[in-house]
Amino acid sequence: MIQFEKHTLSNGLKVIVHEDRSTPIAAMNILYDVGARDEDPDKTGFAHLFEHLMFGGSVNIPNYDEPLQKVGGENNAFTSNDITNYYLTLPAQNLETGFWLESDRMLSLAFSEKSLEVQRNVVIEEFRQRYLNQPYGDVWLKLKPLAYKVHPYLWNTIGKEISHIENATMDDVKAFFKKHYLPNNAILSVAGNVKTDEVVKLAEKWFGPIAKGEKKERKLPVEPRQTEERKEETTADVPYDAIYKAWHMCERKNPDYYAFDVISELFSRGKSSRLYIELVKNKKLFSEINSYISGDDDPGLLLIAGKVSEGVDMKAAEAGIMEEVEKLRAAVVEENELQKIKNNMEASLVFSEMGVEGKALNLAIFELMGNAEDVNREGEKYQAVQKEKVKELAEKTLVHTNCSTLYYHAKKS
Amino acid sequence: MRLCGKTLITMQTLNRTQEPEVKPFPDIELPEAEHITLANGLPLHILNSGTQDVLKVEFLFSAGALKQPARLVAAMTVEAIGEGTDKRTSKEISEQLDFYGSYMKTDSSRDTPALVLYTLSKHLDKTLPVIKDLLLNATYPENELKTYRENSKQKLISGEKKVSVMASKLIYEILYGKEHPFGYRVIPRDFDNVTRQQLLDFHHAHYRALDCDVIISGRVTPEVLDTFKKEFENIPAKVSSFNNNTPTPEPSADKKQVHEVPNVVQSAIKIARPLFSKTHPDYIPLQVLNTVFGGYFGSRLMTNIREDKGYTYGIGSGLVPLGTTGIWSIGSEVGVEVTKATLKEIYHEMKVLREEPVSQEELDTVRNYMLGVFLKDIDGPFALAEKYISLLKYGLDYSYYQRWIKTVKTITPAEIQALANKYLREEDFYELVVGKLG
Repeated sequence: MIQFEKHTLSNGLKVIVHEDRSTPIAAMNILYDVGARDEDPDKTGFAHLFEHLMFGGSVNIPNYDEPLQKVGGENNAFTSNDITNYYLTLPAQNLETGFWLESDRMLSLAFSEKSLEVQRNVVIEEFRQRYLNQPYGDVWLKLKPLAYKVHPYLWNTIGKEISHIENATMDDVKAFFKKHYLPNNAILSVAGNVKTDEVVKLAEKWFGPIAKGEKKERKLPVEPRQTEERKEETTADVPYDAIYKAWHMCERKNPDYYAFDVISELFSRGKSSRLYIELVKNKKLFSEINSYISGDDDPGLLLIAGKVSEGVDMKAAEAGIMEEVEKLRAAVVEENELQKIKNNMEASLVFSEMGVEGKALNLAIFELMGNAEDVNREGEKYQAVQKEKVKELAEKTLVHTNCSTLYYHAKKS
Repeated sequence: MRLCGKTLITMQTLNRTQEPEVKPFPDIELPEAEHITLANGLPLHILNSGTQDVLKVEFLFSAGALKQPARLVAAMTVEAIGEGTDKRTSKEISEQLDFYGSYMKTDSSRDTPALVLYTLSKHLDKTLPVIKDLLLNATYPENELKTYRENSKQKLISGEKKVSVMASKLIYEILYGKEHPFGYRVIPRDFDNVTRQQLLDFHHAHYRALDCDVIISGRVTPEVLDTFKKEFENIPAKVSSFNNNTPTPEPSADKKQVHEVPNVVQSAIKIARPLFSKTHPDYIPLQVLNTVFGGYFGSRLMTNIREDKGYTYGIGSGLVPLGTTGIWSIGSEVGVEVTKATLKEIYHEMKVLREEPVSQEELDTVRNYMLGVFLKDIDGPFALAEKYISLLKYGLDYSYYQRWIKTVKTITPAEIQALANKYLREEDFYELVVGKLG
């Protein structure tokens, strides 16, 4: 249970505060409602490149990191399909330094040419390190365009290709900032050893004077319903074959989301899960196998990804997966097994609320989804999942015509 | 803003170029572990704090690679401990832990392996008996071992396809020697060579003997302690103090090595030197030097090689204690075409630290950064347990952190420069490139 208070400034910035006296630190989280899905299809990877530029100095402060480190703070950021999120922690008595830094870069950036040039290179190296220079690293670059045909989820946060990053210009940067980095397009949450009224005062002082902007309605192309099975094969210099299967599922806000999450947990949560016991332990078709949901704001994917055991045929391995899928479609899950998943969810929620950083992030994310209050209702929503619902969704969703399959072959030497 | 007598100030103007007043650092209060010894001698170390109804229970052993009779035995004993007991199959073990939303983690680090249980406090009476069963009765069934061996080999081979993983392993081989327990690199065949009997014997000598420390953190209620007493106090425990005396490393004669990998777009770089463990008096001051050099986002290495040149997504350095020895290591993944240039810049930054004292301003930033991270590192019971464990492993007590805080607050630029001249000499480092030299 996270207790908090919520305020909205006149420029539209939402401010959420959670007091936690048990720690000497404070966490500040600022979420911008812009992600890779808001990019131009010809300029992908931009939201993430932009996140890097947010550390290249702001209009009144030449360096973001240095003053924060000087007061004992640390920071980082991440970009997803849906959001760009910045967070910092510092000793609570120096919280105002965080407000000073974050408000200035919301006001305006320094837009330095040098920073753009360097961060283009840094992001290209990140692209190589994560996607190109490790085995199976390019899986998502191949799987997402197979699963999505029109919705922007078809490209990855890092971008479709390196050239999109190489070609980013300062004009692009400025336009992106003007369009998305607005107080009325952001949520600020603060958690830790702070007083709510003081935080609100600081928010008014530092963020209050920033003018609100025009928030454009998001009009993204809707992914048409998949009607045919999709398959693709690729070969790369990896040691073992791998299989990736993706089914379209609902969006995060849909009440069915919880039952979909339960399905992925039934498949692969822990060493007593169905895929692990049947496919790794009993049939020895896979050396490792996992299932998860993407959890995106727009309709997302339920995935199964497995490394095929040496000497096992790809088709036999896939048949093993499909047998487990069929079991879930054919019979309702035992009450005991469902209870196990619910107990797991309860524990995960408790563990995830152990630090102020996690609490600040959760508050901002739930506020973006509609209401920060919902952060405290997750547990009951999982507890309410019915076994009949699980079967119904499995029957409806886990079908060939809704599935994209990628065979990732190891190059024979 | 200059105030002029004739100006009527109607509104307070915000000066955004002026940073808010920096408040002095608070005194750091570090809650210490309480110690209870069960009737059988088993030591429990307790960090009771936090608001959540959770527990982390760590059984910490010094039964690492230094104690093993043959390669991989120590790591495999702990990793495969959950494959079955004479009471439960591996599936039953997992089912019982999973049902209560708890999970078990094994740590097969080279010097201090551990078995860790995360559980809701209210379910401890259901989950602790499972862990106890593993500690006392693991049987390493042959059929389960077969699967374990095959899957572990696959994971090893896949992992080593990553240049950074390969480099992290090879650098230990270079610094300690191929035959040293901390130096040799596990190969797939090792998994086949370890016998079930070796695992049973090693388990019996260390795990069955309860030759360990138990660190309990979270909400530790009297009921929690009663559960521990009930489960463990009647079992004979052989508790010996931590002993990780490490044989002298025998570093490679070849100080610059390139491990060629075809078709890569990035190389992994490791530049490292042998060092000492946390008990050495220079260890704490070296942490300050290391932070300046490559230990945080504003470090010399990051500022130069990422933020100025854009050669990499990240570069860093760190001190790694291992048994009674240690290493100091710099690591990065960089574009193949800038690998040589990166090496040059790393050595250049060493030289600058040897030749020029750090400015008072930079040092103040590093001091506050380190103290701030320390505060964050003691946020919550699990974090407090980590802080305690990293003392226990090296036979240190809480006075170590008092020394740490004092050193961070008072070390001078001259002292840092002297340390750089003693420890940051290019000729003491070993250079490894996995990938291509450009």
